Amino acid sequence: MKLKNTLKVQRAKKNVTQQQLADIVCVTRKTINTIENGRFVPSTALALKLAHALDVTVEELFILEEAY
Amino acid sequence: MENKAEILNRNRRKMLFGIVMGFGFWHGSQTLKSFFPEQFTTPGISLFHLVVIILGLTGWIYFVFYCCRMVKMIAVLKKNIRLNQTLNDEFYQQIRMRSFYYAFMGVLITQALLLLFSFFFSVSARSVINLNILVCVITPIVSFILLDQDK
Repeated sequence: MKLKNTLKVQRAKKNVTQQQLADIVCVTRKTINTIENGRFVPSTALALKLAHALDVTVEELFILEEAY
Repeated sequence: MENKAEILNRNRRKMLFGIVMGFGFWHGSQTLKSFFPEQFTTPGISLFHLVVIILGLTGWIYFVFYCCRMVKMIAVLKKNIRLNQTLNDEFYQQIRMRSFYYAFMGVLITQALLLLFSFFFSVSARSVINLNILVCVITPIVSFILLDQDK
């Protein structure tokens, strides 16, 4: 079961850079980069923070690949 | 302008690299010395002896210098909670845990190799302790640096 994310797309829609998003949710730019690349799966708290920062739901941001 | 957290993050990598190099040379030379004690009991200073002393001293200076810089950085982070949270976010907590896992595996492999080595050669307790300290310190830091690399 693989977790996909639309972070890059949502970020582009809002015209927010990785660094700006990292500053909002209080993580490093590298953390945002690793999440986008699928190398790191964030905790529920961070996923909620990211969703809130990008004004989307967590389900819009993270998708379980098996379900599709 | 580059973000402060990014600058500190890059500096942390540099400091860890400096600490690992310094400790490696300093303690590596001590380990080498413990494996070849006869080289140091003979009268006069041999080339081997001289190289070990110079490497050890250089490593020690390097190690102390980067440790001081690290302590200074920790002091800065203690004053700035938000910056501390950013630099030690969950991704870094995860790679820190993975680094300790690799360190444990490294120590385990070292024990196995030492046991194998002891069947053919005599190994002093001092050599074993020195090698263990070297592996215990170097493996988690090197793992952290490697896991923190941009891919």
